[in-house]
Amino acid sequence: MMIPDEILLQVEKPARYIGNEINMVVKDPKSVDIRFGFCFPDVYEVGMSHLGLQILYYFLNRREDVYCERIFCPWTDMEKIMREKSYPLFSLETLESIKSFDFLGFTLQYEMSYTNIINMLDLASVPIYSKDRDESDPIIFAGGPCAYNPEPLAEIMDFFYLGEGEVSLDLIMDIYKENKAVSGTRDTFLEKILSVDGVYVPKFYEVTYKDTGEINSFIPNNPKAPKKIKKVIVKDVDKVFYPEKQLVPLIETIHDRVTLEVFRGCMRGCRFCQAGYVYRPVREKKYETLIEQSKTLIETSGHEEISLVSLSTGDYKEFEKLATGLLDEFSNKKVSISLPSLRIDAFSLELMEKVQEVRKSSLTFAPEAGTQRLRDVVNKGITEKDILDGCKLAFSGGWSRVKLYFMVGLPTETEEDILGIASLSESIVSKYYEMPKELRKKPVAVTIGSSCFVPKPFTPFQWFPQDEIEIFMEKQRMLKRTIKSKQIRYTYHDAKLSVLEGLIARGDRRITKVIVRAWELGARFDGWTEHFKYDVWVQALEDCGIDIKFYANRKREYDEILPWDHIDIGVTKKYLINEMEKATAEVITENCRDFCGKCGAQSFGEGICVEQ
Amino acid sequence: MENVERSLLGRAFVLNSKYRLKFSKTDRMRFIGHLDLMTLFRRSIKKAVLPVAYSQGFNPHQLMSFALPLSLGVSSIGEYLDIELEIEVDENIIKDKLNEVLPLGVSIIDVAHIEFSKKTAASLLVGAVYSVKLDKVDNLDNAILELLSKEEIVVEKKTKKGLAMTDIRNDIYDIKKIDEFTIELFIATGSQGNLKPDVVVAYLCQLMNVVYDKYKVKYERIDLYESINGKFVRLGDWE
Repeated sequence: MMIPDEILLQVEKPARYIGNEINMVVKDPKSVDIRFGFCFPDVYEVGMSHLGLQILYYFLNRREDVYCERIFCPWTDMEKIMREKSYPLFSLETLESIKSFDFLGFTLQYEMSYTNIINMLDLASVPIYSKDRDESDPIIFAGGPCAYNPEPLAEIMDFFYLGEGEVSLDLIMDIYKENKAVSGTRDTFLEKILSVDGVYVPKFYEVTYKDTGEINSFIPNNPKAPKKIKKVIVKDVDKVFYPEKQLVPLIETIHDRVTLEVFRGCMRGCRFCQAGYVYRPVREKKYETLIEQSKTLIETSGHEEISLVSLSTGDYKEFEKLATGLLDEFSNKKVSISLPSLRIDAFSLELMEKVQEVRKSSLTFAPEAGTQRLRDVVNKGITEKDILDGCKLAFSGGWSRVKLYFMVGLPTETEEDILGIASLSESIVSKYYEMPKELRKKPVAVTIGSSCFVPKPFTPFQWFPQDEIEIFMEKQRMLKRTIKSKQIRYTYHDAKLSVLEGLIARGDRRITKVIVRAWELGARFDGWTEHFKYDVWVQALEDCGIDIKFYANRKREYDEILPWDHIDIGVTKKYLINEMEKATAEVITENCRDFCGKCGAQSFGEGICVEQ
Repeated sequence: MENVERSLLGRAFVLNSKYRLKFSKTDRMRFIGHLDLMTLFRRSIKKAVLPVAYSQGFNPHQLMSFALPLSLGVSSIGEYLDIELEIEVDENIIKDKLNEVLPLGVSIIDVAHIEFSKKTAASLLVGAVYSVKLDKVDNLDNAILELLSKEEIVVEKKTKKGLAMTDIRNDIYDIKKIDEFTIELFIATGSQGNLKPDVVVAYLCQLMNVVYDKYKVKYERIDLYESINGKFVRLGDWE
């Protein structure tokens, strides 16, 4: 074991660094052709709850010629010791240094994890910039939701993988092996994978800028490099590889249960939500597949709980059948079902009671906006009537805790919309007290959470200027002042963090140095309140001469070349522009199942687009 | 039918079968704490498909009880766990099935079917033996003799109410030197008195005039003891 006992005893949760979990894959590293490091740029407990890791870990390890091992970001206490004593970053399966691995694949889950990526590369003694690496370094690449705007990390990653891992990873591994067998170099490999669907190799593209700062051109410098890279999606989600096992951690993590993916994509088209656009089209697994997979995963893990994971599980076509089927399967096996947030109606209430989610838990709604007008702008279909009727039903069933999620800073927002958040919450409290006293065993507790809207690439709002920090804070203060009831608790997100997220989300290659500089100055675990150092970022922006407002708070024109225009997610820019126009006119768009708006995802010819 | 009792209402119910398991916790598994170990066993019992009995009520949990929590970082070759199964299962099957699913570092050493009326391991416990590999020594033999010759050893001990000065001499049953750096401690634990080995080792280092580095000293629990007719007997020495 590389890290000696005496060090492990000094750090928080030493089990973060020992591996040895149930269902960990053990292989002889000398017997494989490719050593692959799956790097999750956050702490162990967060990374181990990531479903993508579970799927890709077993997907890659099913190949005899590949050994996929896991690497997480060491916590700050361990990092300090590693640097003091020069312990290199190591994988959990073999506890070996990852410098000599063939691939290090990072998953980009959220923008504020990027300083952790740089930290991990540095701890592994891998040069941070792609151009500085040589034949002794692993190939560094990234995938995941934030990869759809790859540009902020374009000078760091050797390549990006756009889309679902099951589609092209095998081919990439095969090409790598062939290349190695003929003593090919990193460069020849990177050129060879240009022909693989879903692969973007940044060094084969040149960007030029106008004097005013916008992108002037973005063109390939290699004839083999495609002008646009289309994401790849799994066609048959029933037949595609899905693991029969799950890594079961030895310590508590965020999700200590079987996570079963029900479907990919989302049909709702909420205009602020990037996931809803980049994961289209909706592809559902069959009921039988899900029951089979749930049984296998419970058997091989020993977990006592199973949860259904999708962007909007309640929209699954046969949801009632699935929920009932799972209950039948597991209720006498002492396995509980963890339900996602559901629309509150008679069925879901009955379901929640059966599942004994119990009145201990809270009802959750995500209205996102305080007025119906603004909800229509963002295309969030929920109405005040839905919420109040749902609450009434639930309150009479014994529930007394409600959680509501909102955003401030949405396009066309006015003071009235913010005040609407308070009045909606007060209406819920009133609703509770409308019930006869005997039914009100506990006082009602309403929690409102408001986050700061960050416009994301590939959404209709991608041209929208984000609110500046002071504006966000004023809106939060106003909302706080307006809430009167003692039964309402209001929590809000850090505006400074949100605007930095805005910088990176719609950033280009020029902000890479800001991220690196912030890391140099000590930025780590920026997504964690206790570690977020805003001043470090302010300094980094100053040192690099970058104006955050240009990226986060500037209104972009429809004809501007956006840093992510060379990526094709299926949904067209024309559609997004049309959605933005509809938003301004407060016109809603129906869900994919009810009406096909020909967004462009139909070009994949799969899933809900071709449903009868 | 044995093990069947009839309640006042005349309905028959069968008593669960109780088993005492002896297991080890070594290697990388030293670094998970007691609560996580309990979760590991719960999951492993499920994975092994053992017919474990559950408690009644709103939040049924597996009927399982550990003899004594093991501090994080300490290894052990003598841990005990009592479980109740709904039906009788052969001890070897229990041992093999669990060992099949447990990760490297936790291993079932022995399984014994015990009387349902037998008290839990936790309640029977009176002492524990620890093997300690010291980092620094100086006249170890003398220090041991000196310690054992004392009538009273007062140290600062953490109690529920905070720190208190306590006499721990009676909780130290014996200390033996095994080799130049290794000693064995036999100390009180359980309902009689609860002494942690590091308190004794820290005191011993004081007597030797060496620095006690808690990160460098290695502890391993060897076995747990109950008292039968005034004699110390290992929990695993089944009748």
